[in-house]
Formats: sequence, structure tokens, C-alpha cells
Amino acid sequence: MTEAELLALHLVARGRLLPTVTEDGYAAWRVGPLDPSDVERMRRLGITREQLDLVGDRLAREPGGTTPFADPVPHLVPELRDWAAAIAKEQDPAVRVSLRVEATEDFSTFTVVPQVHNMTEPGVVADLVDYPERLDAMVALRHAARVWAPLTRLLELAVPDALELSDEEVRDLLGDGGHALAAAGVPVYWPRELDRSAAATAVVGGDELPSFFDGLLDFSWQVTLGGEPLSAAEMDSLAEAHRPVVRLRDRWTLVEPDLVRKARERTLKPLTAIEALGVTLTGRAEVEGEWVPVAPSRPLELLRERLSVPEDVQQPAALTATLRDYQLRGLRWLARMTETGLGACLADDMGLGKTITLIALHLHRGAGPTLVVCPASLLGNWEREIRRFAPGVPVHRYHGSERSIVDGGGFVLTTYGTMRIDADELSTVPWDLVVADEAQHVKNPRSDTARALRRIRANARVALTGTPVENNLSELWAILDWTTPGLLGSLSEFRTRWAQPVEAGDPVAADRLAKLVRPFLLRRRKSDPGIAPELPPKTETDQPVSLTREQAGLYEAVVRETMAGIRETTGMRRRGLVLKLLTALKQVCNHPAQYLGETDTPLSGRSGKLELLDELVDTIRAEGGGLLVFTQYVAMARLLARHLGERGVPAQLLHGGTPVRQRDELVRHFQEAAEPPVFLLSLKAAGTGLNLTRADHVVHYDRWWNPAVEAQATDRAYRIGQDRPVQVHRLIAEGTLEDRIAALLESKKELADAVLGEKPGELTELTDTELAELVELRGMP
Amino acid sequence: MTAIGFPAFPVTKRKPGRFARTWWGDAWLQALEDTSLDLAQLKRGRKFAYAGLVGPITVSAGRIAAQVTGDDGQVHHTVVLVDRLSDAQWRRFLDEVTAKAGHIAALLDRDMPHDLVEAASDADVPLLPGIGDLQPECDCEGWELPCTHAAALCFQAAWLLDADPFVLLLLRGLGQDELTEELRRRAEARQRPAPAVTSAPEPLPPLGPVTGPPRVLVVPPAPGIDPAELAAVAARAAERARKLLDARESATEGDVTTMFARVMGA
Repeated sequence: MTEAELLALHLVARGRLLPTVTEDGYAAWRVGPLDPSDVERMRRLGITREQLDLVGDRLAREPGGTTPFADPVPHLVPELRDWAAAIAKEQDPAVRVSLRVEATEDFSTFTVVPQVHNMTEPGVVADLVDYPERLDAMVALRHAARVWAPLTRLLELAVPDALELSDEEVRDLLGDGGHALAAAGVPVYWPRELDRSAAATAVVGGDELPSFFDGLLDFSWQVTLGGEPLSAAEMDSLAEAHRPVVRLRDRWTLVEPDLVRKARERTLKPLTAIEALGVTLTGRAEVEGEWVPVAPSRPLELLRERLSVPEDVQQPAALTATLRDYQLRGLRWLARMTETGLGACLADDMGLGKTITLIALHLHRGAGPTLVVCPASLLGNWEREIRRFAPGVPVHRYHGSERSIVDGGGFVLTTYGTMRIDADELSTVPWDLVVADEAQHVKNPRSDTARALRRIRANARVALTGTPVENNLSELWAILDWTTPGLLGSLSEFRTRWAQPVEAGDPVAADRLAKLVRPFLLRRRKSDPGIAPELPPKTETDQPVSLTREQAGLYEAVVRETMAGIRETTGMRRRGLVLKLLTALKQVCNHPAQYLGETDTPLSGRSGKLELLDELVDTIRAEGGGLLVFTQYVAMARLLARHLGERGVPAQLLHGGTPVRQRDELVRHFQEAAEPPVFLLSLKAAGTGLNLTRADHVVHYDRWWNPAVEAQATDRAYRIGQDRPVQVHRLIAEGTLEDRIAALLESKKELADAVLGEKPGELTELTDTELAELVELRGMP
Repeated sequence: MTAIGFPAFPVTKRKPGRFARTWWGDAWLQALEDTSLDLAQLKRGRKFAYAGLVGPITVSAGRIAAQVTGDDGQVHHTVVLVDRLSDAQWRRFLDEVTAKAGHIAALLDRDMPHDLVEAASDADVPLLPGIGDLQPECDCEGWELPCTHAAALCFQAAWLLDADPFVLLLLRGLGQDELTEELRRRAEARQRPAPAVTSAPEPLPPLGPVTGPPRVLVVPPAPGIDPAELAAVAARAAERARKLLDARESATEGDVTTMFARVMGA
């Protein structure tokens, strides 16, 4: 960017734009009014008005602009010449005044001399009384006198050459009066012999850091001269100054009244350690409604440096997987943040492996028990991943009616609901880490769940979330105020200090908030250039979910009744009953309403699979991703369509009976919509010829007996033309036949072939005992 | 000799409160009222003034003239005469003006300082008309003084005075250009020999961050131009400029900053 462009941007940003008509009669913009300092800058840097006007004109025009002045195509408007000339004369006068302050040698008397700047000839400055076009300048002086009343005395003179100021007036000119004049475009120039470098910085004291969440630190004003701090004695003498000029360190120094007050009332309200860290990170503190620069103490400075450098840790030996590079970076960062006890929020996209990173963190810390609080639908996944990646580490579910705390180290998993009821019980354990998974669930800080979560103490807190929290500032506050209490202040402080200015588009506030939050928030997206290459094109995950009480009751009743019938029959009739049993159980696992043939009963809270699907849908939609949901049953697909519709999630349904033309329309809409609807497909309908590469997530709502068919469905999303990694989520009801079939698929036993051959019919050849073992409900609380 | 033509006032909606906007406009109308023998004529004249029945007005030294359309639809040549100041009176007036820098500043700012008028009056320079100083002449057949037409012209003249006190000075015999020329001549006579042309003493400070809200553009309306819309265009340009400056300053800042930038509605 050239100096001219920079100055032009600065002027436009300050609103210094005026409509004009060019010499050949076109509507255009010019920059103006300029301040004398702008003109001086133009002169010294050799910038012409034309260069500035060019940038201003370009910035103001916008596509689709309706006025002649906004349209990118120039309009001929010679009839507006007089109008534009009147605006120029009124708003951008050719002469401006400034004030030069002069003083006697001993600085006992100050006078102010009005000067005239010719805005058309940069750099021409003269005392007003010497200026040939004095009359115009006189009007400018009159306007200045309206802003700063002492100048009225100049206008009483026949020749307004100079005005002697009282000390009181000098002080005012240094403070409010001078600021008002500057705002009105009248700069004040002080004698160069006067040191004007005195400034106040807020200083955080203390040679040691107290505990983050209850310690206090001294906070006070420190006056500096040329950046060097004054001693206490020097500040005392400054505090007693009764003249605007003070002798400091052998120099005459101008001191604003505000500075004297700060030297006098030095002590500020102490900061909590966490507030002190906050002002260290932003470099600014809000004192008496004003943002002032802050000098942090040495320990705070060191802490800030430490937070910016991740802990140099290697992947824990006990972890039975190799962390990807970004996961290792995540681990190092989490290790640093939890080691300081400050807490953190890992907000990576779903599928980047937050769970495994957290398991690695637990292994790395090796210190004590970790409590994971998560939605019920994710309990199964946590347990499975811990057993898989940290075999031997105890995992205990604290959930269900006969729960008890087993204090054996390792992981304890619980749900938000259970935690809310049993917060007291859970607080008795000396947790090393408390983890809130899908932490956006506690975004309402006044909810009982959020309050209960705050009561559980730990050495460090970690929030995990896959939703982009930074887009919702109050959600961001709720999460960070749990991980790092006090960092963002109370909710109302946060709103007035940060959320409102940021949402109103204040770039300075946004930048400061970013500085404050950045150390505590790590968010990576699948699409990030540093991440995408590390991701496999397709990730398949089994998502174990628990049955609800209703599902478990139905499941056991179906097993009991149908197995009794099977035991008493043989041949075709028996085969028929076995198929009926398998189908009924799968329906129960999907949703009781499907098994019971209900079409208009409420669906929420009755199926573990549906709860997890809701979680996935919310996260994927927040990420802006596309989702395919496959089920074998049209009835289930219809139930899901209704349920999603009721939740306000757009969904579309394709099944075997959908006419071809409508199919094409559905596919086209899914591929092209800005926010693709959730696409529900019955597996049979999926057939061939569907190109659904817009999807980056695939959910298999129920298990297919045949992996090849499942793979074919998945490939609807993952095929040529797909440039994003695809995640496949297979929902599996824990402790049910689905679970056992998944296990069979994993192990390559002979039985698997028997069970999972081409036709599910082969299951009917199992013995009664084998069958009973396959379908028996296990491990339910 | 200077004469200035002013376009005719259109039909104007009657506003509550005083007819004139300025204290000297009020004083002018006071002289009219004090002179008038028949307040009913004045009322009709005021109605005429609002009704846009007065044509373009010409102001020259000692004289205001216009064509005024009467009730009967007939056009009358109407003139109001005011005494001009003598050369000696002008000299004394200019002495008063130059006694305080604020006087000419106020006049050029379209303001008539009270103390200037008083000081002039003390020096036997009557600027504002008094009783009997407005002398109407009209070719209508009415015998009232002033007639409706002359009264209407006087009322509209008050609006002209409101907008520019130099109109009063012109009436008294000296136009703005002649007056400022005379003031300039007097200033030069007093001027120090060699005007010092210096540059600003301070070193150039760096361009700091843009703080505070941007200046709001206020322009008068014009055909095809909506002032509010123009202001909105300038405001959006300021916003774009701020974003560009901001992007420039935090180009190296990481993830969160860009995200906040998005929050800001890029």
C-alpha cells in the first residue's frame, strides 16, 4: 500500500468524503474536509489531492448503487455543479486555523498564536495577522472560539495576533479543550522545548502469581517520562504540581491535569489474578470507562510467553494409536493449558479426533481420575474409544439407576442429566480433569446443569465442542467462563465490554477480544490447509448408543415371547419366526414407535439412536456440512423426516416409491442448496445412479447384514467428485444383536460368514442356543 | 453600483412563532410595524409574503424593489426606500468593524453582532431602520402606508436579512465586496512588511488507528439526490476503509481474528 493510498483510506475511514462534480461534469467523490495535519502529511510525502480523490472515489462506488454517486458507471450531472461547489465551500474551506502555543523562557507565561493553513497550497502556514486572506481565516477562528471559549477574547482584539493564557486555560488546552479543538479540526502545536512525553500506564504489581481463581494483585498508575517510569518520589512531586508545566528530571514537562490526578490517585482497584492475565493478553485494561495501556508484571509476562509456546510432549507410550500431527499439536496445547490450571476449549470440527486427543491428554497427565460429562448418546462412543486407544485404563460409567462412584483412577463417564442430580456426590472425588463434551449443551449459564457443572472442582477443566463457538459470543462466554472462570468477566460485563462493540463492528474490540481468547481456544476445521491432507478420505466409526428404558423393556419382551415360539417350532415356521424376531429387534433398536407402528406419537427421548442422530445433525449443520441418513425401513425414514421437521431441520426423503423425476430433483436440490437438507434414504431406494457428493457425513441408522451393501450406500457420498473427507457413522445399539453383529464383522470368524453371508436367511439355521446368545440383551443397567 | 437579485420565494407554509429568524430581522419588522398606520394592511401583507405573490427581489443601495401581484391579479411595481449612509458614516462604521476582529468574522459568518450595531449607533451610524425609515412606493391605487404590496415586500426582505446581514449593509449603501475590499485595504496598511511563511513546527506523527465514529455527511438536497442515501454511501465507504485498514494491521493475526472479522459481517 502506498502512503497516498494509506492516507486516503484513513481519511475515508474518518468519514472525510464529499460529493463533487468533475471538470467534465461527472458525479464523483473527493476526500475532504482535510485537517491541517493531513495537508502537512501530503506536503511532506509529496501526495497530491488527485491521488487521494481517486482512492476515495473508488471506495465509495458500489455495484448496484442507485444514486449517480454510488453507481460504478460514471453519470453526467453538470446541473449539480453549483450544488457541489456550495458543499465544497461550506464543508471544505480553503483556509483552516491552528493554534501555536508560545511561552516565555521560564515557562511562566503562555500565549497562543492563531495560525492559518492554506489547504490548497500544502505547507503554507502563516500567523493569522500576516495572512493576506485574513477575512476567511477570521471566520475559521470564530468557529474555533465556539469550541474553546477563551479564543473569544482574541476576537475582541482589532488584530488577533496573540492571546495570553491563564494556567487554568493552559491545563484545559492540554486536556479537554485541546481534544475538542482537535476534533473540530483545529490542531494545537506546543513549544518543542517542552517535554510532552509524560504518560500514564496502568501497572500490575506482584513478584509472584497468586492462585488464579481467588488471588488479588495490586493495580496502580505509573507515570512514565519518555517511556521511563518515574520514581515514587517523582510521582509525589508531580501529584502536587499546581502548574501545567513541571520540572521533571531537569526538563520542563507539560502535564495534563488528568495525568496529575493519576499521579495523585495512584492506587486502582486490585485485579484478580485471572483479570490480570486478561489485561496482560490484551495489553489494555478498562479503567474508569477508558481503555488504557497496561504494563504487566514479570511473572505475568512470563506466563503469557509460556502460554504461547505449547508444552513439548510426545505422544504417550500407552496410547495404542499414532496421533496425527495436528492431534499431537492439540495434545501439546492442552497439556500446556491444563498444566497451568487455566483450562481450555478444544473446538475442532467433528471427526478430527477430539476424543483421542483427550485420551492422550489423560495418559500424558497420568495424575488422577478424569471425569467426562457428555450427552447420553455419546457414552458408548467414549467407552469404546478409551478401551480401544488406552487399553487397561479403567473406564466406569456413572449412569443408570444403580450407579456408584468407583474411585479407581482412569475415566469416569457420566451424562449431563446424571451430573446435574449428583453434582454433590461427584464433587467428593479429587478429579484431575473434568471434561465437558459437546459443551454447547451448557451454554445457558443459569441452567441447573451449568451450575452443577461449576460445582465440580478439578485441577483443570477442558471443554470440547464441535460447533463454531466464536460465531456466538454468549456461547463463547458460557464455555470459557466454565473452563477459565473470570477471564471474560461476568456475563453483563462481557456484553457491554466485548459482545456489543464486536457485534456493532468495532474492529479494535474484535481484535482485543481475539487476543484475549486465542490462548484458550483451539479450533481447527477439516478444510484447513494444514489439516485436510492429514485426513483419510473416508473414516468409518461405529457409534454405540444405549437403549432407553422403553426400548430395553420392549426388546426383552420380544426376545422372551418370540424365543419361546421358536423353541417350539421347526422348519419353515421356525425360519419365519426367526426372521420376524430379527426384524422386530432391529425395529426396537431403531425406535419403539417404528416397532409399535405409531405414526404420530412424540419421538424424542425414546431412542438412543435418535438422540445421537440429533447431536450429529446439530453439529454437522453448524459446520455447514451435508448429511445422508440411510435406513432399511421406509417407515423409519418417515418417522425421522417428521421428527427433523418438528425440530426445524429441513429434510428430504427418498425411497423406493419416489418417482424418477422427483428423485432427480431431490438430488439436484441436495447438491446445490446453500444449506443442504438432511437427506433420508431408504437403502433399497439408493440403488445406483445417485450422485450425492455434497455429503461429507453418512449415517447408517441401522445395521445392514451385508457390509458390501453398506459400502455401496456409503459410496453415494464418497465417490469421484468428492473433494472433502467423508465420515461414516454407524449407529449400533449397545448390548443388542446389532452390537454382536458388529463384533462378528470385526472378527473374521467362520460364524461371521455363516451369519453375514449373502442372505440374512442363513441366520435362521442357527441353533436355539446360538440364536438366544445372538439376541440376548446384555449389560444393561 | 452593486445590485443583487434574489429569486422569488415560493409559497411558504406559515410557521408558528416569530416571522423572522434573527434579532435584526425582528428589528426590521419592528420598524415596519411602528411605521404602519393600519395593522390590518400589515396582516394582509404578511399573508401575501407567505402566498408567494412577491416576484424576484432586487436589492441595491437605498432600495428594495419587486413586482407584487395584487388581489385583483394586477402586477404592481413596488419599492421600499431606505436612507443610505454618508461617506463619513461609512468611515465611522468601518472603524467600528475593525475595532474587533470578531465583527467581520461574525458578518462573514452571516451573523450580525449586537455590539457592532450598538457601537455604530453610538457613533451616529444607524444600521437598522427605525420608525418612519422604511419609505414605501407603489403604483397601486391604495392610499395606505405601507400598502399591502409594500408590506409583503418588507416581510420578505426580513427573510433576506435573516439569511445574510450584508443585505442590510447593501441597502445602506455598501455591498459585501466593496466592504471587504475596504477592510482588506485597511488591514494591508497595518500589515507587517514581510509575511512569514513557515511550515508547521512539529515532526510528522505516524497515522494512528482510526478512532471514534466517522464524520457524517450532511448535504442539501438536489434534484435526483437523496441526502440520506448519499450519507449512507459515504458511511459504507468508511466502513470498507476501516476493514481494509484493520485487515492490513492484523494480516498476520491468526484464526480467531479472521473469525471475528466474519462475525463483523464481512
